[in-house]
Amino acid sequence: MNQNRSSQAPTPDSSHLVEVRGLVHIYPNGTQALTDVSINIGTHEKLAIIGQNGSGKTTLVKHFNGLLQPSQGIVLIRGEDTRKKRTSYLAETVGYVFQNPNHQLFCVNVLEELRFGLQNLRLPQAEINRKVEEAIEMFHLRPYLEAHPYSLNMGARKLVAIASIFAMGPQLIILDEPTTGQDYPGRKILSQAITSIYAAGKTVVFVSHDMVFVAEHADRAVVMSRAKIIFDGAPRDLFVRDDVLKVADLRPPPITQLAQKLTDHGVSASVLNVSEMVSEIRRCRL
Amino acid sequence: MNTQALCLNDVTYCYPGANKPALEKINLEIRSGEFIGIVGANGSGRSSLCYTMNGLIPHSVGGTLEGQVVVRGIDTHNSTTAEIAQCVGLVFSDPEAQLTQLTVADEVAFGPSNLGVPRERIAWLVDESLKLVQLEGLEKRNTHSLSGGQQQRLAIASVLAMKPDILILDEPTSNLDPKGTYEVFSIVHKLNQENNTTVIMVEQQVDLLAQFATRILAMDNGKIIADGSPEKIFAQVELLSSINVQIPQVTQLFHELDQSNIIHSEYIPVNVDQGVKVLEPLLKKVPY
Amino acid sequence: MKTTLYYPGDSILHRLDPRTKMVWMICTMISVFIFYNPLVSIVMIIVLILALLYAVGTDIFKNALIQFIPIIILTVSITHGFVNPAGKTPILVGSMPIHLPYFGNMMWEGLYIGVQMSLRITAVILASIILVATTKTEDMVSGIAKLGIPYQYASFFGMSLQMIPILQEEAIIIVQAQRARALRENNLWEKVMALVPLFVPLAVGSMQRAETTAMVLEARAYGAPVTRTELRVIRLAPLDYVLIILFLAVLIGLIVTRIAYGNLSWMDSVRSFWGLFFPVQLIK
Repeated sequence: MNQNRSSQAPTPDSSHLVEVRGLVHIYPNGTQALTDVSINIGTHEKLAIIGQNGSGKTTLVKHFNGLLQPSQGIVLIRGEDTRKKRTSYLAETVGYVFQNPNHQLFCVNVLEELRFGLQNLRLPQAEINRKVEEAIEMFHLRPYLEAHPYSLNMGARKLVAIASIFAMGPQLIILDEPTTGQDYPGRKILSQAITSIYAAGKTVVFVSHDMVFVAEHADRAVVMSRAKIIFDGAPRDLFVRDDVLKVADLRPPPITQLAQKLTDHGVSASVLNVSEMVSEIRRCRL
Repeated sequence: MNTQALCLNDVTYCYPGANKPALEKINLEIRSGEFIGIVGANGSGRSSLCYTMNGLIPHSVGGTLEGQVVVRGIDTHNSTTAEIAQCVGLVFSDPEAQLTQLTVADEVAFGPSNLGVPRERIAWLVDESLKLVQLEGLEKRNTHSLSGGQQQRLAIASVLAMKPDILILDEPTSNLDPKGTYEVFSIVHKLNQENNTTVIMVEQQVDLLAQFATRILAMDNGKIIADGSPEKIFAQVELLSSINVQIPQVTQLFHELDQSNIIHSEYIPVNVDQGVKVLEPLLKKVPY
Repeated sequence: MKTTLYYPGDSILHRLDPRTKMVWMICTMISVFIFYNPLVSIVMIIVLILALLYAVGTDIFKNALIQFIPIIILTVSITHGFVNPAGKTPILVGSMPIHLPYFGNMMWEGLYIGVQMSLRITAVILASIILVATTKTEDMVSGIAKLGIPYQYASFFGMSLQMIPILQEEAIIIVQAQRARALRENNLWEKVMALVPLFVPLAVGSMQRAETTAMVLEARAYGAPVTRTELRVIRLAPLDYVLIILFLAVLIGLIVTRIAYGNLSWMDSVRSFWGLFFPVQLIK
């Protein structure tokens, strides 16, 4: 499967935030989760990593903060080899929000949660206070500071987890399956959070198989199937690649599917969302 | 054959120790063979409604249940969960937490063996149930080695083995990938069409519900706010937005086309195929 | 990642009735406490290790608990060597005693007692592993139920066993999640403090899972007031009877020997490393 890129093949250039070359990962039980994966990620992107469960997407991102080490190949974060650094060091540059916020939250109140990561990084008190304030403002958490994290509903808890990682000040934040199990208000909270993080000048990488959410938020989509990257480019370009979608067992958002059934009438096949479709209909109306 | 499967009369329910009711004055009649989708934000009472239908409320969970829940003519106040389990099966949202046995065959056999069904019949039930969910051949597999989609299908099979004709699923696809989600919807649709199983499904995936369900219940704050066909319910855009329920993208499209005066349609499509049918005659034909 | 404590296989040990293996386990546990010398424990341990190798193969050495055993032996032995009050004779390397500030010298008698205890613990651990590794959980539950314990309690035991690998997996994920928050584990103190962010999520997860499991059981008619259908027929085969009689005979033999000859301790004459394990003075 040829990789489809909207830019050139990655060249060794330590100005990238994340650089992955020839990455192979084999789990202790023998499963090969990644085969010859190479990818570069910049300092200000909104990137979605898409694929079915078992395609290798979570395995890939766990290399970015050293939770997993390469079996072969190399992973560079700001030019530093992850094999030579601990996760506690890499966590300053790469933040990882786990799928289940319950796995990360344990303090008595939300304020303590926000402080936890920063205290681990051994930053001076003044800086800790400043970063925590920033996170409280950005994610509108002031009314919840005294609350016990487990007394909040799932959407709010997710937001606290994201905020506590953001507060650590990493340049790249990974969100693992952010919309899984969320209801509509929860998704809105997440959308807002991703927009805020990107507006703050960070890179957001979200691992997801929610194509509507991907179409809404990603500038770049990386599709994985069976331990390999089979596509790397704009979501718009992905949705017209039937071959890629078929191999990865994915379908475009319903609105895109609708557009693709009306191409005989001049409707573009790579519609991303409802407003684009409205424009298309206006254009193609009798 | 439109016999009544399930009926709730004036049901109000409070969890133990709660001061606000989780369900308020619910009146609902469900007929055999319907495929019902329940939508609503977290906390709107959807799961509580499901638990009243199979007796977990009030027997396992406790609390105060007012009103009547009648399942196949039996009032749940007067029967045990074990009895009701033979009429109503419940599938939960976490595939792993539902599996209590080690092998696939044991999991399917668990329910019937709890009911004292003779061994030969259990063997037959296991075979039949696994065929219905397309998991035949996997009898000896370890339940934790299956994919999420397979695990949910296994949960459905273990419910079917008790031969209920009402199947309730509480957010069965929330932890599944698109492939697994589609597997679950297909199997449930097949059971509904071929075996006339009554299906009640709580879901966030409104696009898929709009494709398969024949009736939608929208819930908010313990009450049923709207009840009708997918076309009728999803067209009520402002109402659903006020109770934090998503609508299918296709319906959103037609709402905006209407608001922008581009297309006014009497009939609001809720899925892709319906959308194509309505739009085709209204668009230019581009010659090759 | 292993999802059960059970190692699938078809050896004679796998095919034994679970009750036979339970008897083996209990007899081993009692036997090693009868005497005050390490020989009985060593014999039991050798038999158990051979049995485990036969039933499971070399994979057993990947088991975390097995790997922990040498650490247990070392820690318990050395601690008793220094602090046990029965210690009178210092151990000499050349002509130097082994000395720790505040704790004093390592003594032969204390070391003997420490070796004793750690071997007993090892035998007990191995006996339990044999049972769990060669018996499917559902067979164990049936075995316990057949011994007269009500089915409900037997199945709770089975479900608890099943929870262990699930909790292990969840613990690994939680540790990863907290590492992503720059959790430090560089020294012993930090490693101990790191248990706090592990404990709360694990406890919450367990409770939520328990709640769901309880509801699922109810929804599958568990606890219905009818006689359950036994899916598995476990019957005592001739080999089971033979083994049970053998285990009981050995146990009774050991008890009789104790009554006749005392606790067979040679604590007072231990003066060499091998003397800790074997009665070398008898060979001389």
